Formats: sequence, structure tokens, C-alpha cells
Amino acid sequence: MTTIIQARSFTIDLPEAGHARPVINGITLDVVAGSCLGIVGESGSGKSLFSRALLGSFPEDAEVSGTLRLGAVELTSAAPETVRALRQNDVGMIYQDPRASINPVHRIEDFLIEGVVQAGMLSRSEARERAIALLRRMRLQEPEAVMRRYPDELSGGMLQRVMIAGALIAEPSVLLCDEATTALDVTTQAEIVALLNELRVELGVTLIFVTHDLELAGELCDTLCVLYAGEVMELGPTAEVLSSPRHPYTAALLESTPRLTGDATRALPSIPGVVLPLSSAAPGCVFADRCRFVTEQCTSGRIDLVTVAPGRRSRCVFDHLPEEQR
Amino acid sequence: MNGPLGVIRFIAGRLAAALLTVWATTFIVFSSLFLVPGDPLAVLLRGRRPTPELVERLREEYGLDDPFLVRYADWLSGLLRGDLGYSIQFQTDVGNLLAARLPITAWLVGYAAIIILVVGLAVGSWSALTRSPNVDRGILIATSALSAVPAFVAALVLLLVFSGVLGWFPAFGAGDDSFLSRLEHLTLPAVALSLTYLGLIARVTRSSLKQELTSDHVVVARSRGLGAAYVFRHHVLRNALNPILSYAGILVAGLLVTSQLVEFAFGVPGMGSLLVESVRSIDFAVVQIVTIVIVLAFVVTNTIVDLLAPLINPRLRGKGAR
Amino acid sequence: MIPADTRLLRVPRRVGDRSTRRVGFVLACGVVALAVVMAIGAPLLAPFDPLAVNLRLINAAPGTDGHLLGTDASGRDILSRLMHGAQTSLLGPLIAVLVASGLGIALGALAAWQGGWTDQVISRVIEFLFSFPGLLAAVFTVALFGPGFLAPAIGIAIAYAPAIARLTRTVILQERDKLYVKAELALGFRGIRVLTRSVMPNALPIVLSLSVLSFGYALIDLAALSYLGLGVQAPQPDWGVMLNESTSSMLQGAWWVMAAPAIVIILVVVSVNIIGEALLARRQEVLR
Repeated sequence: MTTIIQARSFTIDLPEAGHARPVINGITLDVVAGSCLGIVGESGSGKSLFSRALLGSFPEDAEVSGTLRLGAVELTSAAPETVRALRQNDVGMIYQDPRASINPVHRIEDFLIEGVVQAGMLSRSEARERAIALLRRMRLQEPEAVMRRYPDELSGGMLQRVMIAGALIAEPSVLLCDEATTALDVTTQAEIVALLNELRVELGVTLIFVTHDLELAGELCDTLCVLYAGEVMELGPTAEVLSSPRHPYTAALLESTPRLTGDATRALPSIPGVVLPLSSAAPGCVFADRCRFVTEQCTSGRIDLVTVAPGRRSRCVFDHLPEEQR
Repeated sequence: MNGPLGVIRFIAGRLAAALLTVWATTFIVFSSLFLVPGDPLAVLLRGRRPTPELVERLREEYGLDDPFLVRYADWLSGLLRGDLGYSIQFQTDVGNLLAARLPITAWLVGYAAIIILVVGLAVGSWSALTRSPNVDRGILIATSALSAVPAFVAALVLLLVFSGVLGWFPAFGAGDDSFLSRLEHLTLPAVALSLTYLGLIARVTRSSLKQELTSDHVVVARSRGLGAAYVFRHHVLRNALNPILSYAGILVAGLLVTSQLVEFAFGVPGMGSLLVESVRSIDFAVVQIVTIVIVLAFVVTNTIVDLLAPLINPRLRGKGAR
Repeated sequence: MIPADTRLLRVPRRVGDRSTRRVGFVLACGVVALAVVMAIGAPLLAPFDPLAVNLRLINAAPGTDGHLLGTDASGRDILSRLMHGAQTSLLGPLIAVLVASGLGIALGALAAWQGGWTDQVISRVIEFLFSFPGLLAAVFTVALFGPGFLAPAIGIAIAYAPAIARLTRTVILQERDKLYVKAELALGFRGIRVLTRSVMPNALPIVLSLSVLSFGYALIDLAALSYLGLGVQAPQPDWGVMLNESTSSMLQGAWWVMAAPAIVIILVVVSVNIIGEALLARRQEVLR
């Protein structure tokens, strides 16, 4: 078991009106090669920032501290050429909206092969062959015809498959999926998730699955990392996190997820309040304002991420949730 | 645009629209003579001694004894056969005049267009790509200021500085037919002509590049490890080309019209100064034809751009272009 | 289709921060006010007769013998000519813009309010007129009516009307879909009353800011025409005529003869643009 991604107190600060505001605050985690990590959180939690950091891209003016390694590359201090080589060879990324992410004026073929051809990894014809094979693997009918099409001539689901093929063409070891299925309808979403799972097993590619949807992450990921306001709230094996969440935030997220099974008439609870920027949060738990179980202890001092069970960590003053929440 | 039938329909539609515009122009240009209150002959003869020969010539030329529609039909069929009318000022066929004057104006306008495209695209790209807001603002102010200088003022200033004070360029005429002589004589006029439109093209380039630079697909392309230069050429410039190209028609028409002023200032014997001389001497046949030539150039350029647009941006294909 | 004369369709670009813009706006208003005062007060304020020739004092440098801006090739006082020249130089574009606005607003309102084939026909005509740049239309009018003051202004007006008509049409179409119009019509008010009493007051400000902008362009085009000898005729002291006459002085090194009218034209045009764009920018959200 080799570790492919390793973060230690990884922090991104953005300068704001004189003082630095952390948008990612001390993330520490390891990802084993070939596994799937789910990064879950609401918008503003820093999950997209983290996935972009894995591509070696940080917000302008950001101050980065701690370490973030991908393979042998230390991303926080990598030279631009190193980052480019990394993007060309080792990391692929799929985005939420394939239609906006693919240049509409070029053919699908150009999108698929431009990376490897420009990097000089493959000749045009080799790249074409590999692209066609990949499209076939993505279960697209008549891949040769698809290669000649323009993005506007394909459906959203087809385009997302093209997007995945484009991300895999250089045979990267890590595939980042940033809300990759959010813009798709439920059926297509399920198909794409099944496809990603298959790719992980067959190609041994490491998946980082960024989503706001706990349920969806549960179908695919081995490990879940729940982010809130740039901090890890809970980290652990998927099944355990979903069946017995240790952090009130995880529990709240789970409750607010719509479910197809069970009592359809139950009102969908929502978490009161909004994600607060870290600078405005009082010392203590960043979730305290919105937490049902908030006590004085929560806001009095710093709360650390502690190991609460083998392989499980949580950032809460209660080492376990009250009985009725289990 | 679905299938070859759709393509044919699209092309036919554009061509028909262009033809209609040109036809309407010929109609307006011809019939306007008869909209002026009073005898059209008086308009045509204004400021001249009405010799019997001249009167007879004009009567025949404009078919003044025929009903209006017959007159127009005769005149139009003459145009189509290449009979562009007779200049009473220069005492020769308008076709001959145009053959002598148009090439010089084409040279001048082409020269100015090259300056505009090269400098305008470069400055616009620089402004869009620079990370310094001061450079961007500086370029914006400079191009706005240039646009505010009328072409004839620019011509006079250039004449004063580069011809009068520094003596680098000749002040008058278009030179002989050799390339170098043309280049020497037409450089100042071309620069004067280009200044107004330089700012326009630079601003259009800047805004369309800026829009593309921040688009998702460009960010994605960079995140795939593609080089900055490649992304700029392949994903930014290519996508920004259509909005920039759509200004080609205006550029051509605007340059042709403005060349009147510049040719007048520099004494360049082109189509523009021909138009000015003809208006002054009320040589209506020449004015008619030059007007039609300018509108024709505008319509033809626009039609070419319209036909090219779907080739550059396939998104336009589904919608039958625009 | 983009018209041959795009200047009228430019989206205003805001340069500088709020306070710089306000200072710019105030300065621009000052320049325009000064030009208007010069035009109206010329007979009283001008130090010399603008037509008085003095062949013993030609191309005199600024400051010579009380000639603040010098004299031209015929020894006429440049400042006095500038002041008197402001009359035709400003009145021409004013007439052009008034006629263009009247025509444009009427056509645009008719097209938008009537809809159907009226709209179709007017829109086609507008699109057709877009093929004629302002200066070409003006030159053509001069060819028909002869050189002078009024003919070119009318020609410019016809060339500028379509842009104003198109903007009027767009704005009124947007207004027409608003609830208050539907409500008034439903209440049984006559269409023409709703248009003139309720819709127009809301639509006019943005259209009129375009008119202000087009004043500057009309000024340039008409000055160009006078420069070509097709507009106001010498020895009338029009700014364009002054530029035309400055050529001979310039060749003798008297650059100030050309600089004075050139700078005045540029100053007034830039000022009008600043005012027009500030007015238009204030109404921008209506179009977005």
C-alpha cells in the first residue's frame, strides 16, 4: 500500500482587508494509491479549492503553508514546469459542467488528443487510436463518429464521458472529479458513477471524488473526508461514517440528504444558518453557530481533530454523539 | 443548418440579402436625383454653361424623356453591362476614371487595414493579457484618445511633423507605379487613415479576448497542462476571432469613406479625392458610382464574414448563423 | 448586422474611479458651456472682426499685436474666427442631431408599438440604412443639393437616424412587456396615450443620451465636410473651413493656425463624448 497523496497541516490563507483569512485550514490526510477518497461539504467548505490545489493551482495572492505531496511532487513549492508535467502525466480532472469545460469550436478529437500530442507523448495517430479505445471503454457508440463531432452535437452525459476520456488519455495515476455528476440527470449520474467505479478497479487509478452529496460519495468512496469552512470535521471509512457519524455536522448533512427509500412524507430537515467565513467565526468550533448540541465549551477554545476509533477522526468536543443521534 | 440542403439554403439566403441591399442602393442612388425639387436637368447642370450638346448628352444619359421606371431600367442594365455612365467634368467614361483611381485607393485602404490589424490586434492582446491594471488603463485611454482625433486632423498633424518638420515622407501625391514609391508616398496617408479605427479594433480585440480568457474551457485547458501559448492560440484567439471579424465590413466601408479626407489632405489621386472633386463640380454620374462602389464593398465584406462565421465557430451552424 | 457607422453603437467604457469620472464630467460640461458661450456671444466677445484681412500681419505667432492665438494666412484673427466659427460648427451638428432624433424616435416607436409588418418594414429599412456611413450620406446629399450648411446636416441626420431608431425600438419593446403598460392597456387607456404619457418618459432618457453622443460624431463629420470644401463655404469662419485654410500656413511653418481649430474640435468632441457616455452608462442596466 503506497500513499499517493499526503497532506500535512495544509493551509491556504487569502489576504483580506489587512489580515489573512484561511480558506483551507490545516488539512492532514493520506490517500492510498488505487483507493477512492470522497471530499464532502457544502459550497464554501473549501472542497473545490482543495481539489484544485491537487492540480498545483492556488488562488492568486494566496499564502500556502504545510505540505501537500502528490507522488514525489511537493505541490506547495513546485516549479511551474513541474506542475505542468504533473498535469500532463499524472493527474486528470473532470469538472461539473462538461459543456462549459470543452471548447465548442473544436472537434471532440482535438479535445481528446491535444494534451498528449502537445506534450509530445504520442503521435497524432497513436493518440487517435488511444482516444477511440477510451471512448469505446466509456461505452460511447461509434467512437470514430464521435471523434468527428463538435461538443454542441453531444448530450451532457455523452460529453461527460468524453471529458473523462480526455482526463484519462495520458493514463494518469490520479483522477480528480469535482462535482462531476452534479449537472447530470439521475440516470446518467448513476451510469457515470458506475463507470468511474469500473475504471478504478480496472485501471487502478486513484479517485478523488468531490461532492456535496454524501449519499453519492457513499456509493463510490472507500474513505470520506467531511469539510466545513476549510477544516476537516470528520474523516473515516465510508461505511462507518455513514452508518454512525461522529460529528454533528456529518449527522446533519446526512439528515438533509433526500432519500428515495423510507418515509417520503418526512419533511427534509435543513441545517440552520450559513457557512461563515473563518475570520468572522469566534474561536472554537467553526460549526458552533449552526450546531444543535452547542455548549459553552464549543466556543471557548480550539478543538482538534482527534482519533475517536481505529481509522476514524472527528473534530468535536463530544467524543461521541448523544444516544438519540446514533 | 442540417445537411447540404441547409447549407445551400443558408448561402442562398445570405447572397439574396446582399443582392437586395445592393439593388436597393442603386435604386436610391438613381432615384434621389428625381426627388430633388425642380428639374433634374438643373441639378445636373448646376454651375455649368448649358451647351446644347451637353443638354442632349444628359437627356440621353439619364433618359429624361422616358418614364421613370424605364429610365431606371436602362441605367441599371447599363451598369450591369459595364457602362458606368459619363463624367461631364472629366469628359470621359466613369469606368475609365474608376480604373485609374480605384487601385490607388485600394492600395491605401489595404495598407491602412494591415496597420490596423497588426497594431490593433497586438495592442488589444497586450491590453487583455497584461497583469498590470495600469498598462491596461493606459492602453484604454490612449486608444480612446486616438479615436477622438478626426482623421483629417491626424492627417494634417502627420503632414506637419513628418513631412514638414522632419521631411521624412513626401507631402503630396501617390508616387509612380513602383512598389517602393507607393510605399513612400502612402505611408503617412495610411497611418492617418488607420488611427481612428485602430482604437476600435484594439478595444474589440481586448474585450473579446478578455471574455474568452476567463471562460471555463480555457481554465480547464490550462489545468490539463497545456502550454500558455498553445492555449492562447488554440482556445482564446480562435474563439475570439468571430466577434473581431464581424467588424471587417465596417472597417472596409469606414476606410473607404474616410479615405476621402486623407486623400484630399495628401493630394492622393484616389477614389476618395475623385468623390470630393465630383461633388464639388456636381458631376453626379461619378458620385453615383463611387457611392455604389463603397456600399458594394461593405456588403461584399459583410457577406464574406457571414459565410465564414459558421466555419470558424461550429456553434453557429445549428442556428443558421446568428 | 453591425452598421457601417459603429460609433453610435459603442458600449460606454468607464475609465477611472468615481471621483476622476466626476471631475471629468464637470470639466467636460465646462468645455461645452464655454463653446456655447463663445458661439452665442461671439459678436460681443470677439476681439477682432473674423473676416478682416490684414496682409501686413499674416501667420502672426500667438500674442502678436493683441492677436491672442495669432493670425492666419490672410492675417485674420484666429481667436475671433474660432468664436464666430463656433456658431456654424455647433449649430450644424445640433440640427443634424435634432432631426436624427426626431426621425429615429418616431420610426423606432412606431416599429415597436405597432409590431407586425410595420415593424418588419421599418426594421428592414433601418438595416438597409446601416450600410451608409454618415460621411458618405452627407457627401451624397451635398452632391444633390449643392454645398452649404443645411444639406450636409440633413444627410448626417438621415445616416444617424437608424441607430437611434433601433435603440428606441429595443427600449420600448422592453418597456411594453412591463406590468404597468399591460395594466394601463387592460384598464382601457388608449394605446397612443399609454405610449406618449407612460412609455416614452421611461424610454426617452436612454435614447437622448445616445443623441448627445451622436452630437460629437456629427460635429466631426460636418467639420470634415467643411474641410473638404463641401460644407460651410469660405470665408465663413467654420472650424472645418479654418482647418482647410490652415494648410498653406502650415507649409510655411505656422503650425498654430492648424492647431487652434484642431484642438478646439477635439476638446469639444471629447467633452461631448464624456457627457454622453456618462449619461448612457447611467442607463446601461436598462439594456442589459
